Amino acid sequence: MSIKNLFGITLFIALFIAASIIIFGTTDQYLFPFVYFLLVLMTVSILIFLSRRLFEKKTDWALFIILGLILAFALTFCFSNLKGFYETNKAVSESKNTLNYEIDNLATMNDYYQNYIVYQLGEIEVSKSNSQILQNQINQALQGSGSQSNNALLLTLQQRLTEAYDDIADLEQELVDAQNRPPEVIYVERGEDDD
Amino acid sequence: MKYKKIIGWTILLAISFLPILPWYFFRPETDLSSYANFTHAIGQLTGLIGMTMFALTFMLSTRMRFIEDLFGGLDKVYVVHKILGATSLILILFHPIFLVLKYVPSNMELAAKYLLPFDALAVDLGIIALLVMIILIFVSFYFKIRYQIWKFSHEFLGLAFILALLHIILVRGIVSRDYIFEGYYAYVIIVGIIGLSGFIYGLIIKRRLNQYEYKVDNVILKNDIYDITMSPESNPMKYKSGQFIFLKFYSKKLTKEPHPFSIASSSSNPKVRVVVKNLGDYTSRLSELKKGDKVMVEGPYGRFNYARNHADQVWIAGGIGITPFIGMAEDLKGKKNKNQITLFYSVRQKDDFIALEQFRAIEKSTDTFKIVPWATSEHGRLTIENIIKETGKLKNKEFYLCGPKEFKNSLTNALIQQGASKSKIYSEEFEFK
Repeated sequence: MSIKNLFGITLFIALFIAASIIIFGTTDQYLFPFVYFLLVLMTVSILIFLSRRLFEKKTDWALFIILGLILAFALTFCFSNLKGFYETNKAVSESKNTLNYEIDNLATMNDYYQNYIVYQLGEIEVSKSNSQILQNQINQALQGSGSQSNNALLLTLQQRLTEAYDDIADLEQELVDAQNRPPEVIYVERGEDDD
Repeated sequence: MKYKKIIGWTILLAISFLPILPWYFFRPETDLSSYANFTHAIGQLTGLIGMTMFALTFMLSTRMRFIEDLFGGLDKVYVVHKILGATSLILILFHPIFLVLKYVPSNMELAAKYLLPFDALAVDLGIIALLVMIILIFVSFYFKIRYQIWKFSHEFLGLAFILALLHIILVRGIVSRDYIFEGYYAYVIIVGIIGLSGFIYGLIIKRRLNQYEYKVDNVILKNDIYDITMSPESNPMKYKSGQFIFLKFYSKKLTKEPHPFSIASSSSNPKVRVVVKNLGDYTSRLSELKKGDKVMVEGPYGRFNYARNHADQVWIAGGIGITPFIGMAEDLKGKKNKNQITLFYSVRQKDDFIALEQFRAIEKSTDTFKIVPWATSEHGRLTIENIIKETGKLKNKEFYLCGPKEFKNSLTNALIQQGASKSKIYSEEFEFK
């Protein structure tokens, strides 16, 4: 066997092994056309090589059989894996669709929570305003004459009202923080809460 | 001659396989019995040996005298260059495959990742170098392109070597994740020096050495055969008949790259004669040559010469392969030689014979030279039986063959089968691509 033929055969085998590893190893569907191109190129080149030798009547039968076997193996290998290849591709597409649906859902949920937070902040503002009015009324009542027991009751109410103010301020801060968080953080935290 | 060739091959292979020693003795301790370590080791070794062979191919194309002496002529050097180049590419092809095979059972995705570009610069450089090598050597082997285009494209193997060199410099450490072996950079430097010096010498220096200025004296075109005679402008080139030269014709219609041609004039002749068959684009334009056109002659090269010893000789020429024998026969003119020389000159048609009258005249001038013209259209293919019938037993005779590859190979095999000594069969390699 001449060095030229040896080179041709080893080139084919090396490219074939490399293409097989890439086919089985890659999950990136954008590389599939590249792999197909490589396989088609190899098959066409080997067919041209064989047909040239046949037409020139220089058939070295040992070489012909070796190349024929390699080609048969290559084609069997390719076609037997083609189904799985498409199925993987299909599964990847379906997963992507599901993921996109989830993302859309998440965005909708996120919008809902954002609106809810804004609404709650508004409610807090109203509560704060009402509390302020009540505080003023308590203050006025305390300045006027009143029984000892009424005054003690008013003081207790005033203290509770101050605590309620603090709670409202804390809640307000939490809502603002929640509003500023990225959606995925909200999603993860929501997921954890669900558990 | 033959033992020199063995020495030449031994030197080449010894240098090529030398990196195995530092790799074996100075590599990090690993258990080679495991699948992953074994395939990784094979991957490293194919890369190291392949890269060394790749560097040596550039040294072989420098046309240096001592390399020519080692292999018995520049034509033989180019055959070695071709074999070594293809072998280096075969090894380099399997270098990445063996390196990733260690991942195949457990992590196919990682294996695929290493075979694809855009992951690490060092790997990308290696992939580009490999692709350039594959394309250029594939074209060189399987496409019938013009000599000048092939020669121009072949120079780009130097670029592939530079990219491969950058790959082996950058690959250590982060990408290969090991030290390969202690003193690895010494190996890189030596391989770099061998390859780059060979490439630069071939590209710049060799074209300025062994050059002689000649001018065209005469161009005769007959039956698609050009008979060109050139005379020296200053110092004539010293040569032996049967050698070959590179000619660069300074004519407007001819491209400027040098082309190889066999010398068809006698050793003592200060003029140089070449006989060229119109085979393609370049040779078809030789008709444009005019008397007085400048020619740059580079050479002489090759060791195809009859003056070895006093054994009887059989010269066998097929078609245009007659050209070195014209000068060799001219050398015999009027001389009394001790040995008998028989020239078999095979062509397809009677009209294809070149310089037949010249051979007849030499035959008349000396008793020891005989020409056997052979037109296959009349007598069928020239066979070993025809040769034995004319010359007697083949043992102890020397054989000189020049012609198409198939013609030469079939006759060489037949000669050996009929008892001719392989070491006494000399042939001229005609194809440079």
